[in-house]
Amino acid sequence: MTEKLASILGIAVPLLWDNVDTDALVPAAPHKKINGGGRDRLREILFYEFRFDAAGRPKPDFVLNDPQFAGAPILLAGENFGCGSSREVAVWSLRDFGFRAVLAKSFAEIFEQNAYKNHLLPVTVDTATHARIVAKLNCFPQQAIFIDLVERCIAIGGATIGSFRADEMGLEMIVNGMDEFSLTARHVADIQATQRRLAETWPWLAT
Amino acid sequence: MPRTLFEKVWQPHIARTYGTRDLLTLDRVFLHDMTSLPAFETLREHNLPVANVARTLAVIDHTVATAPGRTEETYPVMAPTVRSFRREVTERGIPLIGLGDPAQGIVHVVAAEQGAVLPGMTAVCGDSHTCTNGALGAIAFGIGSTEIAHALAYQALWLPRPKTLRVTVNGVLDPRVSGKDIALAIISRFSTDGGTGCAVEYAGSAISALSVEERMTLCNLSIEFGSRIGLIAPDDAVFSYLEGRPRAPKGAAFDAAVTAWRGLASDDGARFDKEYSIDAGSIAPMVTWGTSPEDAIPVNGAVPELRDARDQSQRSRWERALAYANLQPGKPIQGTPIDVAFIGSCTNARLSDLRAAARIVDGRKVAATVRALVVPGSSSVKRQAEAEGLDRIFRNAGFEWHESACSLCAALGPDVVGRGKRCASTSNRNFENRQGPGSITHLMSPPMVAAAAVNGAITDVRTLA
Repeated sequence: MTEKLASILGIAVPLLWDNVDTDALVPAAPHKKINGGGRDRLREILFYEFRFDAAGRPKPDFVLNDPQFAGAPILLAGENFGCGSSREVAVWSLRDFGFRAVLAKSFAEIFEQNAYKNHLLPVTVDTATHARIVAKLNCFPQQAIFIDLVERCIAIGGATIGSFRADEMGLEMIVNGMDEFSLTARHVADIQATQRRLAETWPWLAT
Repeated sequence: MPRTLFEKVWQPHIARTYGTRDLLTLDRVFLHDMTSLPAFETLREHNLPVANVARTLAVIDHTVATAPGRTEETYPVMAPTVRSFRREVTERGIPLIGLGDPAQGIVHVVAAEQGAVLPGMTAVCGDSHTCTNGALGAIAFGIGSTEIAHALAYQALWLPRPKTLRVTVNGVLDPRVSGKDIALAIISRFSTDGGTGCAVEYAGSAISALSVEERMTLCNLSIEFGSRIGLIAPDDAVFSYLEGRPRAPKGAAFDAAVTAWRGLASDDGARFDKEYSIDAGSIAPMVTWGTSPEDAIPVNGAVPELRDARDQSQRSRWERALAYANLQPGKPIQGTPIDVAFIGSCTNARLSDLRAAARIVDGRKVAATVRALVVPGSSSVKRQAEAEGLDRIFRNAGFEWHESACSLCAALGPDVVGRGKRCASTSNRNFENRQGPGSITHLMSPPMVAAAAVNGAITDVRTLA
């Protein structure tokens, strides 16, 4: 069982690009290089092409290299975050880097599901709430954001900024520190009954 | 109550509902060498066996070399991954199609060729382009590695039930415009998240007129439209495509299946949550200029002006894309010189794709400045193409002729485009660095890549065909 998580409090790294894809999060070339190195090395390659130049030196103008955001648990993103490939390493890499939540206007679906499975909270906010958060952080970038998973709301400096949308079951799993495997184990009979019923009506499904 | 194709397949597969999610039973679990390895670790952590190996099929495609004579050991960087993958699946008795197997190829090409996906099925794979199989009337979608482990252990997954979106394409397509162009036209018009949260059904006269392979190309790109699931009602074209495939039902069982499959089409009056439509006659050969599949324009069009961006965030994304692709706003895309021409990937490396490209290449030469390669989608496609003499047409023109795998599409094997190099590509993603660090990708159809290869620059295929 993973730890239970009722709230997240901390600063946010603003990376407001739209359509950040999983190739950007974990590009193929450095991923191949650490292959076999295990999940504990994924923090090294997060946003690799944006963080490092061709010679492997950190690019000073990339926000993840900005020391004022070091250790931030929240990534503030734009629209359609995590689009592209199904690679779950993108989520593992964000987790490994220290992120507990990604706050965005929208997520690509496979990424969002992968995030829930790894207890990286995907927080979907509407455009107005997003704009209020961006405006607050523009004034004071190191202001902490409070994300309440139980009440499903976001606050900055003690004032509520808005609510967020989340998949009920995904959120419940994070709050209770659970995974789906133990839940599904209780429903094996349902799965088998469904498969038997399907095989009777549509025999080609059962090879 | 009239029902959609999606509902007719999804509903009978529900084993349980919990809040907003359904526990959906799965008929097929496909595995490949890149995303599946961590799933086996997860299975071990939970001490769970694979529930049903007969419903599982493993294919080696992502991380291997494609140069003639390659083996699973040729690419030393990823050879340990391939070896571990082979060991994990064989130890569990999962059927494996590895290199050297006559059926080897890209998983989304192989699944259909083997008749391993059939209408009415649910199928998953740790690969976002699993939606390709929706062209056969199946609900097929990409999943992450933890979900693969869950799918292997329980033949089921907890999933939010998607909304339904129908994209109707009516009218007649120019014969030099393909399924790839329809997909790029849809994505550019309705954006890369136009289908997010939805299962997309493609319908209309222009869709029915497409070959089964072109339907696969269209469904393949559903994920670039934001949809995990794309599907098309199965019809006679699909039934004759499937008849005689190794894993398809035979004889009377096949006939009975066809009768049931005919009932899968969306009923008249079925309600969709969203509807889009597009006129086939308005679609030209498409090409992308930027770093998102939605950055697609007609080949005779111009790179957009920044002032035409719909809002500030699109404007700043366009600025970055223009800088990355080294292009000027407002300039024609045609005539942009290319360095590499790639015909391959699960989007566009089937026999009909190779035939269409060969028609353009025949009797012409690849420009001296261009490296051009064909990587067939499967070994079977390669053999059939060779039997038809397509390999000779490509080779005589100066193309390299490779063994089947994902190659330059995912750049997870040894094939990469090179830093600062510009590639005309039949693949599915033009993301920054996708075809290798610093690579610039222009997505287009196989005949368009062929035209770019011979002219050494982005070309309107209609000037050659």
